[in-house]
Amino acid sequence: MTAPDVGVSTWSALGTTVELHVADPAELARATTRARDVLDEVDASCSRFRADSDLVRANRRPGRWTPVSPVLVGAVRIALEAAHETAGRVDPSLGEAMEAAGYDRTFDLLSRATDLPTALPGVVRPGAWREIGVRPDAVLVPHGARLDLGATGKAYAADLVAADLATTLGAPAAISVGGDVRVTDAPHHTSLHGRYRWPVVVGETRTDLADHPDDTVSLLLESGGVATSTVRARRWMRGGREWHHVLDPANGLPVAGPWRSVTALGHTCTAANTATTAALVLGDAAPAWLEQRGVAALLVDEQGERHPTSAWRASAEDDSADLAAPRRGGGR
Amino acid sequence: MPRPPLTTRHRDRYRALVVLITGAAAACSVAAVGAASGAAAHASEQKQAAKEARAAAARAAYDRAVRAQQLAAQAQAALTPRVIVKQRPARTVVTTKVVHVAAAPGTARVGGGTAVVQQRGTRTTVQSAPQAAAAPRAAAAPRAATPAPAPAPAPPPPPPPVVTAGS
Repeated sequence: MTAPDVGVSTWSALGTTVELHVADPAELARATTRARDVLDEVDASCSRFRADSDLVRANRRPGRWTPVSPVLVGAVRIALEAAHETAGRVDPSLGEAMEAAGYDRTFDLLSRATDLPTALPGVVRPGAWREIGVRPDAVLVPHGARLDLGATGKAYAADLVAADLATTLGAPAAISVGGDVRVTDAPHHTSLHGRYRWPVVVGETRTDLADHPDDTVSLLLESGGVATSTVRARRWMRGGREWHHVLDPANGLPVAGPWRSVTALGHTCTAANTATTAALVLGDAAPAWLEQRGVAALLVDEQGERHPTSAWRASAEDDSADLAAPRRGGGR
Repeated sequence: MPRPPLTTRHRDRYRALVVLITGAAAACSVAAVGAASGAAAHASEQKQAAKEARAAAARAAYDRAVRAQQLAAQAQAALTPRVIVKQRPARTVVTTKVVHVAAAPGTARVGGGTAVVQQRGTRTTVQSAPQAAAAPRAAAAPRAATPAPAPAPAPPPPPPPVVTAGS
């Protein structure tokens, strides 16, 4: 059996680190070009940090339909689906609250500590997301709300890249956009290469991956995606208060629940990210909510204790399988 | 004894003298004033010229300083070029078909995915739910009968793992 050579490329996009793994190194260059192009278009359509993006244009025209690209239409559709799925815990209309808290530019530019007071965001309108309109070629942002796709945007971007590569590459691929991972699920990949299992290392922050390897979890991802949401990353000071980027839609303030990170699997990366974000917002109610939906998830509390769901713990693999064996093919 | 009054002849004569003297004095005065004015004017002109010269020199010095400052600014700009944000050309590379796949109904529905989780330090294996149908195992190729089978090759190095970290 041939060695599982993998081509890897890494670059920055969407304000984060992107990793692309391709099972055939000969296809890496083409795959990277396509992935870059897809992410550039996501940025041009969905970024709230670009004055010329479709999203910012739509936000500037509240109450009116704004023609936008299909990429943004798709992003808003799945963001609304995530909101319905979670009864609003994953809310795409918190843009104003996020900007008022200081996160009004890419995180690299965000001042880590400032005495500037937070702006008064006005009333956070719980449920304003229900008034967001979507047409095949336009979106409508209601008054008193502002689109912010941060909760699902990177995962959606990963799903987009995987969908594109699935139709254009001859080999399986895995894409990580800021830690939201999706693998290609093309049938012809499976028939040619067998069920490919991508080794994935899960950490709460990128620093942990290097500095605290014992705190990481390794898994072999066969299909779908995996995402991790944490309150430990993207933190800043504003108005004498420490903020992070996961806001509670009920009040526009950073969530203060018992979980410092949640990792979940999903049939898509968006599904995984929806589960992790909802879990942070749900707090104590998260384990039951995840169990009811059969989500394989690992919750880590403030003391570092791990709380896996039953789907995460369930064993369905042959224990005699040698996990160190080559990961390609069905003969395990 | 009071002086006898002047006769008309004497009075006129004195008046002429007075006029003469007075006129001469006036003339002298005028001449003196003119001379004085001229001198003052000359001095004033000289003073003005000096003033203007100083002003010109000051302007020239100022212009040189401004020019030097401009050159310095240009040199600094050359070292730290100004970032000009250009409008990137809009390209559509993501087809609607791809968007339909990535944003199909049910995309955000939680659950699913298939993975084998390795807990650090143990060999516990888990699989996500709902469980996908396992891929059929490939049948092993029949081995040729040999008296001394060759040793199995060393397992290939594992591929670099994909990284997921919280965000």
